[in-house]
Amino acid sequence: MTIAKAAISGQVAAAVVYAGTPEPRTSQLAAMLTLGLAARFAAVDAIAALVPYAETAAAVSMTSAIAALVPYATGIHSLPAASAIAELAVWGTAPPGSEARTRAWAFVFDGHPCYVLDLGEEGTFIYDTSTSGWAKFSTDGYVGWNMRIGTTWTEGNRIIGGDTFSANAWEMDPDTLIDEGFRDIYHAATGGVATRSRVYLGVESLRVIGSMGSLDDDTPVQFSLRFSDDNGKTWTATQDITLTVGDFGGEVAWRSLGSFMAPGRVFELTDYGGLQRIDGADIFIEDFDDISTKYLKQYGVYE
Amino acid sequence: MSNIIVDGFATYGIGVNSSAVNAALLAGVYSDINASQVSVGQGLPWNTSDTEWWLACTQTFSGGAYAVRRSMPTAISRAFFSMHVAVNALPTSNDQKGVIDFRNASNQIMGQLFIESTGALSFNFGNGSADSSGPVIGAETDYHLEMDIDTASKNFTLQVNGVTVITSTAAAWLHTGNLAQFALSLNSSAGGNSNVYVGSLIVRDTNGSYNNSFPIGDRRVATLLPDVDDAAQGWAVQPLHRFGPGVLALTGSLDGVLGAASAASDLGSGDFTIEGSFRFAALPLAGNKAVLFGKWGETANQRAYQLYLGGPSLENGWLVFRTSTDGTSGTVVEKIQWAWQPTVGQWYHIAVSRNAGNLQLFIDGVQVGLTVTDTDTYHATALERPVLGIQVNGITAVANTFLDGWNDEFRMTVGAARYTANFAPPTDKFPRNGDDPLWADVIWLSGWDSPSISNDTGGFALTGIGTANALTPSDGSYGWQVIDKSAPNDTTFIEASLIPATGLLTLTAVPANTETVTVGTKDGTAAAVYTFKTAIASAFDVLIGASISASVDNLVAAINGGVGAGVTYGTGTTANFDVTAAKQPSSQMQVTANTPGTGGNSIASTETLANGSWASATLTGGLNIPGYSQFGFSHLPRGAVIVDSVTLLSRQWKSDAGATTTTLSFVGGEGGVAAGATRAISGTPTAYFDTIEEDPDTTAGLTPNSILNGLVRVNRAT
Repeated sequence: MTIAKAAISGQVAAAVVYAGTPEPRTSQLAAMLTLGLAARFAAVDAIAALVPYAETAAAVSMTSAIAALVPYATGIHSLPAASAIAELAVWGTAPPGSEARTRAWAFVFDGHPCYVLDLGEEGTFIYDTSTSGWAKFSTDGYVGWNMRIGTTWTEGNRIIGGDTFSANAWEMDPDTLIDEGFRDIYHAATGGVATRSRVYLGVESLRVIGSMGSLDDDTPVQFSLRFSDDNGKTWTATQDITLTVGDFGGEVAWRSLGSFMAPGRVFELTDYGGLQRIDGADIFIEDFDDISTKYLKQYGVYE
Repeated sequence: MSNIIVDGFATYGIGVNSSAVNAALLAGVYSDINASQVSVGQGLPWNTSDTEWWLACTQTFSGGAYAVRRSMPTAISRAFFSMHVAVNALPTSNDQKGVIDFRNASNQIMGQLFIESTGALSFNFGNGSADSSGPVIGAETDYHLEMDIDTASKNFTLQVNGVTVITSTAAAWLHTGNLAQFALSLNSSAGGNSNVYVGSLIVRDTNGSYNNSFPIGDRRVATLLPDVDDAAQGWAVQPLHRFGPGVLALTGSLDGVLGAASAASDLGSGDFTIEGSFRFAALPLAGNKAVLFGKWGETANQRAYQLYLGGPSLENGWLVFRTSTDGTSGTVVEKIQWAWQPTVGQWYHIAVSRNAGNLQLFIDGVQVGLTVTDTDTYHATALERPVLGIQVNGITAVANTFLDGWNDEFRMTVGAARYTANFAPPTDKFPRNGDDPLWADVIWLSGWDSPSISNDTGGFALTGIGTANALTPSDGSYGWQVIDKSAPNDTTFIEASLIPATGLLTLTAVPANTETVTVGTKDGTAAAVYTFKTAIASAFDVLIGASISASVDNLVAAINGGVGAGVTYGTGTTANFDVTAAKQPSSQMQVTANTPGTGGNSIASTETLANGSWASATLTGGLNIPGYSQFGFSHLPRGAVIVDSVTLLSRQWKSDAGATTTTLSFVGGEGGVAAGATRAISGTPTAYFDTIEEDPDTTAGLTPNSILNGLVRVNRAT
């Protein structure tokens, strides 16, 4: 029995920040995107909206006479030292009610035509017309996806969008493994096996094939499985497998997963900063293709 | 700029009633703490998986207490406070447990925010209180509190999780004045065992146009630590590790390592080399001494040899190698003395070597002092032990003799001299076994890389005394690896030098009449030429003494313009414009450039002596202030969307009495630099905060990306 990659929730694309001159506000950006003013986005840079502070170091005197005729014994070997340096960043998440609905838009990504339905505080939903599947995109800290009012632009149909709050413009990048240069991307995929049988079916294992060794940094990633035997009302605790950068050949499988009966079992696979893609997942269920026979034997129909 | 105080409590260390945490809190941050029971830690007692850092006062006092009290940068009339608060249990009575109090410059409490037994909050202003209409706080729950306190209008507004629960307007406060101080986590025994935990403290003023509205919403403080060096690295890295992963810690007052009591460590009259890398945590005080190594039992008259650094009132603080031929004090001879003040926190390779009756002392591969003829047979004893790091009698440590610091790669070679002239100091572990042609002569070699104290030769066993231990420092060779310590760790750091050049003059005989010594200038232009004379007649004449020592004394006095004008040097001699001189105990003269830096390396030092010479034609060793260092930082928490300020936190000190200032700056991804304050650094490790904020300089804002791609620049200004 095989289940294919199912619905995807969570943001799947990473972003590159553009710096326009002058910096476009979100509303301006929307207008530009709508009107196709591509030239305004010719300048590409990794950073936007940085405080343009004046350089001061050049004004610093690098040497200075500290003292004259200082007795040798006391010395003037001044060696300022620092043992700890840190940044204390004051940060917050998007406050409630701050994500307004914006117009729907569409893009084609990896050959999949997608329709973006931005419902503000309800979230951002993507319909993949090639698979007829819905997915929910979101950015950590936001309710929805912070790439908004997008369009396709210039050769190659680059996918460009605005930001929920800032003057940034974003581009979807299928090759980047982290979002906005710092966020691990959360992926979640679910798939299930439905059955009307009241006979318990043992699950020997679930095995996943995907881009196992291609992770967003050198830190091992936890690839997690949980499942629900009541259509998602309750879930088991997650069972984690550690993925390692560069390990493309290792088997990723969960074994001895108990048993289930009607209404079936839903599997959920999740990771932060893990797989770029899942090629497929296989579950191995005891006698799954012989359910009716087993059922009838149990009730003595067949001897 | 509106965020004036930001504290995530993640950089003080962890502990309850911890002297290290308490010291860190008081090092330039909080003006007063309840030292007996301040608690700082990650997570909460009922939620250890919580990643936030919390501060609390966990001891009750009948008279009431607080965890910490802090002064505002300047006293102001209105401020906004944002913080996260949790309690393990609700108090058993009212007005005993509190979140915060607000004080004026006279330390009078203008208002206190109490948590009542019902879970209600009460703002007590001395003449009354304003309370929430019902319970708003429950046990074991994290709340975001945001307060607006206006001491001029005597208004107070409190929001809990975005909902206004107290509004007090123009109340009759008992005490008034500008807000000058505040205290956190109030505790009194009458409230039971309830503890108030405070985290993510942010204090804003009303300046500027951004981030000063009320409420601003839930904000937290992320403490980001360096995780990468930028290309420009001017500051020197001073990790605690030396060669290999381990070092020997000898920082306890009775710490040392004993070798076996045997004749193997007797040096006799033959060749030997005893050496190791040493790093001081502190120099000996007063009449104390720091014994580097020795075999020196005094109570049983088993003295043989010893190298130690004296305190200021012991041997003038000199480094001294002394020996005894019969174990008694009567035959003790201080063979080599050298005036040396090591810099705390730096590794030095120190070696004593005797070759065919010639005894030499080397620091970092450079001979210091003169070669001493030494054919003595050092006292032989199988009763006493060779000891590293302290002096012992038998196995009993002698008080006030410990080397407060660390050692690595200690080696005793008995029967062979390894050094007879200057050499390149070791850059790695000493060779072992067949890689060392003198391996058969090595009786003690310890690299301390094993978790236990051991002799790598396989020879006599070692015994650690006191708290001596082989440890593996958690630092590395990169700047960020030595300063990314969330808890203060002043044994691993980066430093920026400003070192004066020095020169050394050695006389091997009393100078002859009219021989000259030239060093520096009289006035910045004319060379200062000092002429030895049998009878002084003119300025810059120096009287030839009866001995080398006396002649050097006269020359030193002439160079410094010291006592003796008209007697030991010529009248009219002015103090040297460029250098200051001092006599070493070896009767060598050391001159030091008056202006530190590489400029001193061009100060000429020449002579016409028949029996004497300078170590080099110019002074050497002067170092300028290095260029800055920059560091990238770890990522923001995953959910970060808004970033409204960055505060640069550093812990700095200086090595000595010289003046120095430093500046920390936030460097944006596009090269813009926001400079913090230029600060005069003290000799005590102190925490400094520089808040970098978007407001009011520009409408552009900090973003998670600008934090990610930003750098912190560490610059020594003077």
